[in-house]
Amino acid sequence: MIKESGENLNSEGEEQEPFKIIKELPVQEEELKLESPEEKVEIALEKQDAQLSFREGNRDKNTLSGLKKWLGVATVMGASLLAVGCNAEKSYTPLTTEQKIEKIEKQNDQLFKDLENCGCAIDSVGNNTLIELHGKFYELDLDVIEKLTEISSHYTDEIHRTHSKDRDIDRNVKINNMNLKLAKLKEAIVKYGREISEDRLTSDFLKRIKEEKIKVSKEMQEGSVVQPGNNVEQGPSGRVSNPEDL
Amino acid sequence: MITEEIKQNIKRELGIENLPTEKAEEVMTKLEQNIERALALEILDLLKKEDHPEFIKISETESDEEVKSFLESKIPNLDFLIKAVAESVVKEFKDFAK
Repeated sequence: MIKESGENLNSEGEEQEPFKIIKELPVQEEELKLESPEEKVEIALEKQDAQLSFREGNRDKNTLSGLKKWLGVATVMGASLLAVGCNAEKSYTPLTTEQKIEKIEKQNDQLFKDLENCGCAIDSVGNNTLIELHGKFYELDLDVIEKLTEISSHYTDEIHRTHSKDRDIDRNVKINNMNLKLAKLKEAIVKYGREISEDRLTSDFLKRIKEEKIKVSKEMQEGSVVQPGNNVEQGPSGRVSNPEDL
Repeated sequence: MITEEIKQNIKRELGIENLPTEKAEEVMTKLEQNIERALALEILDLLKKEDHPEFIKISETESDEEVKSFLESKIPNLDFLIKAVAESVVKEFKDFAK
Protein backbone atom coordinates (compact mmCIF):
# COMPACT_ATOMS: atom_id res chain seq x y z
CA MET A 1 0.00 0.00 0.00
CA ILE A 2 1.37 3.41 -0.98
CA LYS A 3 1.51 6.01 1.71
CA GLU A 4 1.15 9.62 0.55
CA SER A 5 2.67 10.93 3.69
CA GLY A 6 4.43 9.47 6.66
CA GLU A 7 2.00 10.91 9.18
CA ASN A 8 0.66 7.53 10.25
CA LEU A 9 4.02 5.86 10.56
CA ASN A 10 5.92 5.65 13.81
CA SER A 11 9.69 6.09 14.13
CA GLU A 12 10.20 2.50 13.10
CA GLY A 13 8.15 2.93 9.95
CA GLU A 14 5.20 0.96 11.28
CA GLU A 15 1.70 2.12 10.56
CA GLN A 16 -0.22 3.42 13.52
CA GLU A 17 -3.94 3.29 13.92
CA PRO A 18 -5.37 6.81 13.71
CA PHE A 19 -7.72 6.12 16.62
CA LYS A 20 -4.80 4.99 18.75
CA ILE A 21 -2.92 8.19 18.00
CA ILE A 22 -5.87 10.33 18.99
CA LYS A 23 -6.42 8.31 22.13
CA GLU A 24 -2.84 8.73 23.21
CA LEU A 25 -2.74 12.48 22.75
CA PRO A 26 -2.14 14.15 26.07
CA VAL A 27 -5.37 15.79 27.19
CA GLN A 28 -5.71 17.76 30.36
CA GLU A 29 -8.86 16.85 32.21
CA GLU A 30 -9.48 20.44 33.25
CA GLU A 31 -9.56 21.52 29.63
CA LEU A 32 -12.37 19.10 28.96
CA LYS A 33 -14.47 20.40 31.82
CA LEU A 34 -14.16 24.06 30.94
CA GLU A 35 -17.05 25.01 28.74
CA SER A 36 -17.98 28.49 27.77
CA PRO A 37 -21.62 29.58 28.21
CA GLU A 38 -22.01 29.33 24.44
CA GLU A 39 -20.73 25.76 24.44
CA LYS A 40 -23.02 24.86 27.32
CA VAL A 41 -26.14 26.01 25.51
CA GLU A 42 -24.97 24.30 22.33
CA ILE A 43 -24.53 21.03 24.21
CA ALA A 44 -27.94 21.43 25.85
CA LEU A 45 -29.62 21.97 22.50
CA GLU A 46 -27.78 19.04 20.95
CA LYS A 47 -28.90 16.74 23.77
CA GLN A 48 -32.49 17.82 23.34
CA ASP A 49 -32.26 17.43 19.58
CA ALA A 50 -30.88 13.90 19.94
CA GLN A 51 -33.64 12.90 22.35
CA LEU A 52 -36.38 14.34 20.15
CA SER A 53 -34.95 12.77 17.00
CA PHE A 54 -34.95 9.41 18.73
CA ARG A 55 -38.56 9.80 19.79
CA GLU A 56 -39.60 11.00 16.33
CA GLY A 57 -37.94 8.01 14.73
CA ASN A 58 -40.82 5.54 14.86
CA ARG A 59 -43.84 7.85 14.72
CA ASP A 60 -46.46 8.44 12.09
CA LYS A 61 -44.58 10.87 9.87
CA ASN A 62 -47.59 12.47 8.18
CA THR A 63 -49.47 13.28 11.35
CA LEU A 64 -46.29 14.47 13.05
CA SER A 65 -45.51 16.71 10.14
CA GLY A 66 -49.05 18.16 10.20
CA LEU A 67 -48.79 18.84 13.90
CA LYS A 68 -45.40 20.52 13.58
CA LYS A 69 -46.67 22.65 10.75
CA TRP A 70 -49.66 23.74 12.79
CA LEU A 71 -47.57 24.42 15.87
CA GLY A 72 -45.09 26.39 13.78
CA VAL A 73 -47.59 28.84 12.42
CA ALA A 74 -50.47 28.89 14.87
CA THR A 75 -50.58 31.43 17.64
CA VAL A 76 -50.98 28.97 20.45
CA MET A 77 -52.34 30.49 23.63
CA GLY A 78 -51.80 33.94 22.18
CA ALA A 79 -48.02 33.85 22.53
CA SER A 80 -44.92 32.11 21.28
CA LEU A 81 -44.38 28.67 22.77
CA LEU A 82 -41.06 29.78 24.16
CA ALA A 83 -42.69 32.72 25.92
CA VAL A 84 -45.25 30.32 27.37
CA GLY A 85 -42.50 27.94 28.50
CA CYS A 86 -40.58 30.75 30.16
CA ASN A 87 -43.64 32.45 31.67
CA ALA A 88 -42.23 35.49 29.98
CA GLU A 89 -45.57 37.21 29.59
CA LYS A 90 -45.41 38.18 33.22
CA SER A 91 -43.85 41.51 33.90
CA TYR A 92 -40.49 41.28 35.60
CA THR A 93 -40.54 44.90 36.62
CA PRO A 94 -38.83 44.93 39.98
CA LEU A 95 -40.62 46.39 42.95
CA THR A 96 -39.76 49.94 43.87
CA THR A 97 -38.34 50.60 47.31
CA GLU A 98 -41.67 52.00 48.44
CA GLN A 99 -43.47 48.88 47.20
CA LYS A 100 -40.96 46.66 49.03
CA ILE A 101 -41.48 48.55 52.26
CA GLU A 102 -45.22 48.37 51.82
CA LYS A 103 -44.99 44.64 51.19
CA ILE A 104 -42.89 44.07 54.32
CA GLU A 105 -45.26 46.12 56.43
CA LYS A 106 -48.26 44.23 55.11
CA GLN A 107 -46.59 40.91 55.92
CA ASN A 108 -45.80 42.09 59.39
CA ASP A 109 -49.38 43.20 59.96
CA GLN A 110 -50.66 39.92 58.58
CA LEU A 111 -48.50 38.09 61.03
CA PHE A 112 -50.18 39.73 63.97
CA LYS A 113 -53.59 39.05 62.48
CA ASP A 114 -52.65 35.40 62.03
CA LEU A 115 -51.62 35.13 65.63
CA GLU A 116 -54.83 36.70 66.80
CA ASN A 117 -56.96 34.57 64.49
CA CYS A 118 -55.34 31.35 65.55
CA GLY A 119 -56.49 32.20 69.07
CA CYS A 120 -53.86 30.12 70.71
CA ALA A 121 -53.67 29.63 74.42
CA ILE A 122 -49.97 29.89 74.77
CA ASP A 123 -50.04 29.39 78.54
CA SER A 124 -51.35 25.87 78.12
CA VAL A 125 -48.21 24.76 76.37
CA GLY A 126 -46.08 26.43 78.91
CA ASN A 127 -43.92 29.42 79.37
CA ASN A 128 -41.19 28.23 77.07
CA THR A 129 -43.45 28.43 74.04
CA LEU A 130 -44.54 31.88 75.04
CA ILE A 131 -40.99 33.02 75.42
CA GLU A 132 -40.03 31.44 72.14
CA LEU A 133 -42.85 33.08 70.23
CA HIS A 134 -42.27 36.34 71.99
CA GLY A 135 -38.59 36.20 71.07
CA LYS A 136 -39.41 35.45 67.48
CA PHE A 137 -41.66 38.45 67.26
CA TYR A 138 -39.06 40.64 68.82
CA GLU A 139 -36.41 39.35 66.48
CA LEU A 140 -38.73 39.84 63.55
CA ASP A 141 -39.61 43.37 64.49
CA LEU A 142 -36.00 44.35 64.89
CA ASP A 143 -35.17 42.71 61.62
CA VAL A 144 -37.96 44.54 59.83
CA ILE A 145 -37.01 47.84 61.35
CA GLU A 146 -33.35 47.28 60.58
CA LYS A 147 -34.31 46.46 57.02
CA LEU A 148 -36.49 49.51 56.65
CA THR A 149 -33.74 51.70 58.03
CA GLU A 150 -31.23 50.21 55.67
CA ILE A 151 -33.51 50.57 52.67
CA SER A 152 -34.39 54.06 53.65
CA SER A 153 -30.76 55.17 54.02
CA HIS A 154 -29.85 53.41 50.82
CA TYR A 155 -32.66 55.10 48.99
CA THR A 156 -31.71 58.57 50.06
CA ASP A 157 -28.01 58.10 49.50
CA GLU A 158 -27.30 59.43 46.04
CA ILE A 159 -23.84 57.86 45.79
CA HIS A 160 -25.08 54.44 46.69
CA ARG A 161 -28.04 54.87 44.42
CA THR A 162 -25.77 55.31 41.43
CA HIS A 163 -23.43 52.45 42.42
CA SER A 164 -26.01 50.22 43.91
CA LYS A 165 -25.92 46.95 42.01
CA ASP A 166 -24.09 44.99 44.71
CA ARG A 167 -26.11 46.60 47.43
CA ASP A 168 -29.31 45.78 45.60
CA ILE A 169 -28.34 42.12 45.43
CA ASP A 170 -27.41 42.14 49.08
CA ARG A 171 -30.65 43.88 49.94
CA ASN A 172 -32.71 41.41 47.97
CA VAL A 173 -30.98 38.50 49.69
CA LYS A 174 -31.77 40.01 53.06
CA ILE A 175 -35.38 40.65 52.11
CA ASN A 176 -35.67 37.06 50.94
CA ASN A 177 -34.21 35.82 54.21
CA MET A 178 -36.68 37.90 56.08
CA ASN A 179 -39.54 36.50 54.04
CA LEU A 180 -38.34 33.00 54.88
CA LYS A 181 -38.31 33.93 58.51
CA LEU A 182 -41.86 35.21 58.20
CA ALA A 183 -42.94 31.96 56.59
CA LYS A 184 -41.32 29.93 59.36
CA LEU A 185 -42.97 32.01 61.98
CA LYS A 186 -46.35 31.52 60.36
CA GLU A 187 -45.73 27.78 60.40
CA ALA A 188 -44.92 27.95 64.08
CA ILE A 189 -48.11 29.86 64.77
CA VAL A 190 -50.20 27.29 62.95
CA LYS A 191 -48.43 24.49 64.77
CA TYR A 192 -48.87 25.99 68.20
CA GLY A 193 -52.42 26.96 67.33
CA ARG A 194 -53.28 23.32 66.66
CA GLU A 195 -51.69 22.05 69.80
CA ILE A 196 -53.30 24.34 72.29
CA SER A 197 -56.83 25.11 73.32
CA GLU A 198 -58.54 28.37 72.54
CA ASP A 199 -59.96 29.13 75.93
CA ARG A 200 -56.69 30.12 77.49
CA LEU A 201 -55.69 32.80 75.08
CA THR A 202 -53.80 35.46 76.90
CA SER A 203 -54.83 38.57 75.12
CA ASP A 204 -52.48 40.51 77.36
CA PHE A 205 -49.63 38.74 75.67
CA LEU A 206 -50.75 39.93 72.24
CA LYS A 207 -51.33 43.40 73.57
CA ARG A 208 -47.87 43.45 75.07
CA ILE A 209 -46.27 42.37 71.81
CA LYS A 210 -48.03 45.14 69.96
CA GLU A 211 -47.00 47.72 72.54
CA GLU A 212 -43.44 46.56 72.31
CA LYS A 213 -43.55 46.70 68.56
CA ILE A 214 -44.71 50.31 68.65
CA LYS A 215 -42.10 51.13 71.26
CA VAL A 216 -39.27 49.66 69.18
CA SER A 217 -40.50 51.45 66.09
CA LYS A 218 -40.44 54.74 67.96
CA GLU A 219 -36.94 54.06 69.18
CA MET A 220 -35.82 53.33 65.68
CA GLN A 221 -37.30 56.52 64.37
CA GLU A 222 -35.23 58.32 66.95
CA GLY A 223 -32.13 56.51 65.73
CA SER A 224 -31.60 53.78 68.27
CA VAL A 225 -32.49 50.10 68.50
CA VAL A 226 -33.58 48.56 71.76
CA GLN A 227 -32.32 45.02 71.93
CA PRO A 228 -34.54 42.27 73.33
CA GLY A 229 -34.30 42.17 77.07
CA ASN A 230 -32.81 45.63 77.29
CA ASN A 231 -35.00 47.79 79.46
CA VAL A 232 -33.17 51.04 78.90
CA GLU A 233 -35.55 53.16 76.94
CA GLN A 234 -33.47 56.11 75.91
CA GLY A 235 -32.71 57.32 72.43
CA PRO A 236 -29.29 58.57 71.36
CA SER A 237 -30.10 61.99 72.72
CA GLY A 238 -30.70 60.48 76.13
CA ARG A 239 -34.36 61.46 75.95
CA VAL A 240 -36.76 59.05 77.63
CA SER A 241 -38.96 57.74 74.87
CA ASN A 242 -41.98 56.69 76.87
CA PRO A 243 -44.00 59.82 77.63
CA GLU A 244 -45.48 58.16 80.72
CA ASP A 245 -42.02 57.99 82.25
CA LEU A 246 -41.54 61.72 82.00
CA MET B 1 -46.30 39.04 19.24
CA ILE B 2 -43.01 38.93 21.08
CA THR B 3 -42.17 42.36 22.39
CA GLU B 4 -38.64 43.37 23.30
CA GLU B 5 -39.58 43.10 26.98
CA ILE B 6 -40.81 39.53 26.58
CA LYS B 7 -37.65 38.69 24.67
CA GLN B 8 -35.53 40.02 27.50
CA ASN B 9 -37.61 38.05 30.01
CA ILE B 10 -37.04 34.89 27.99
CA LYS B 11 -33.30 35.48 27.84
CA ARG B 12 -33.19 36.11 31.56
CA GLU B 13 -35.21 32.99 32.29
CA LEU B 14 -32.95 30.87 30.09
CA GLY B 15 -29.81 32.43 31.56
CA ILE B 16 -28.58 33.54 28.14
CA GLU B 17 -28.83 37.27 28.64
CA ASN B 18 -25.06 37.62 28.54
CA LEU B 19 -24.60 35.78 25.27
CA PRO B 20 -24.02 37.81 22.10
CA THR B 21 -27.38 38.88 20.69
CA GLU B 22 -27.04 36.78 17.58
CA LYS B 23 -26.21 33.66 19.57
CA ALA B 24 -29.03 34.24 22.03
CA GLU B 25 -31.50 34.64 19.17
CA GLU B 26 -30.24 31.41 17.65
CA VAL B 27 -30.70 29.56 20.93
CA MET B 28 -34.21 30.92 21.27
CA THR B 29 -35.14 29.85 17.74
CA LYS B 30 -33.81 26.33 18.27
CA LEU B 31 -35.48 26.00 21.64
CA GLU B 32 -38.79 27.15 20.19
CA GLN B 33 -38.42 24.44 17.54
CA ASN B 34 -37.64 21.87 20.23
CA ILE B 35 -40.80 22.85 22.09
CA GLU B 36 -42.80 22.43 18.87
CA ARG B 37 -41.29 19.00 18.30
CA ALA B 38 -41.88 17.84 21.88
CA LEU B 39 -45.41 19.14 21.79
CA ALA B 40 -46.15 17.44 18.48
CA LEU B 41 -44.95 14.16 19.98
CA GLU B 42 -47.09 14.56 23.09
CA ILE B 43 -50.18 15.44 21.07
CA LEU B 44 -49.52 12.52 18.78
CA ASP B 45 -49.39 10.20 21.79
CA LEU B 46 -52.75 11.44 22.96
CA LEU B 47 -54.44 11.41 19.56
CA LYS B 48 -56.09 8.10 18.78
CA LYS B 49 -54.80 6.32 15.69
CA GLU B 50 -58.21 6.40 14.04
CA ASP B 51 -58.20 10.20 14.32
CA HIS B 52 -54.92 10.60 12.44
CA PRO B 53 -56.39 10.58 8.90
CA GLU B 54 -59.00 13.17 9.83
CA PHE B 55 -56.35 15.34 11.47
CA ILE B 56 -54.14 15.18 8.39
CA LYS B 57 -57.07 16.16 6.20
CA ILE B 58 -58.07 19.08 8.43
CA SER B 59 -54.50 20.31 8.80
CA GLU B 60 -54.12 20.38 5.02
CA THR B 61 -57.40 22.03 4.15
CA GLU B 62 -58.69 24.02 7.13
CA SER B 63 -57.54 27.10 8.99
CA ASP B 64 -55.31 27.05 12.08
CA GLU B 65 -58.33 27.77 14.24
CA GLU B 66 -60.17 24.76 12.79
CA VAL B 67 -57.15 22.56 13.49
CA LYS B 68 -57.05 23.80 17.04
CA SER B 69 -60.77 23.18 17.51
CA PHE B 70 -60.35 19.65 16.24
CA LEU B 71 -57.46 18.97 18.60
CA GLU B 72 -59.34 20.51 21.53
CA SER B 73 -62.26 18.21 20.82
CA LYS B 74 -59.96 15.21 20.97
CA ILE B 75 -57.59 16.24 23.74
CA PRO B 76 -59.06 17.69 26.89
CA ASN B 77 -57.06 20.51 28.50
CA LEU B 78 -54.99 21.11 25.39
CA ASP B 79 -53.90 24.53 26.63
CA PHE B 80 -52.72 23.01 29.86
CA LEU B 81 -50.78 20.37 27.96
CA ILE B 82 -49.14 23.01 25.76
CA LYS B 83 -48.07 25.04 28.78
CA ALA B 84 -46.80 22.00 30.67
CA VAL B 85 -44.77 20.70 27.74
CA ALA B 86 -43.33 24.13 26.94
CA GLU B 87 -42.27 24.60 30.56
CA SER B 88 -40.85 21.12 30.71
CA VAL B 89 -38.68 21.63 27.62
CA VAL B 90 -37.40 24.93 28.98
CA LYS B 91 -36.59 23.30 32.32
CA GLU B 92 -34.81 20.44 30.59
CA PHE B 93 -32.76 22.89 28.54
CA LYS B 94 -31.75 24.76 31.68
CA ASP B 95 -30.77 21.52 33.41
CA PHE B 96 -28.69 20.42 30.45
CA ALA B 97 -27.01 23.81 30.19
CA LYS B 98 -25.93 23.89 33.85
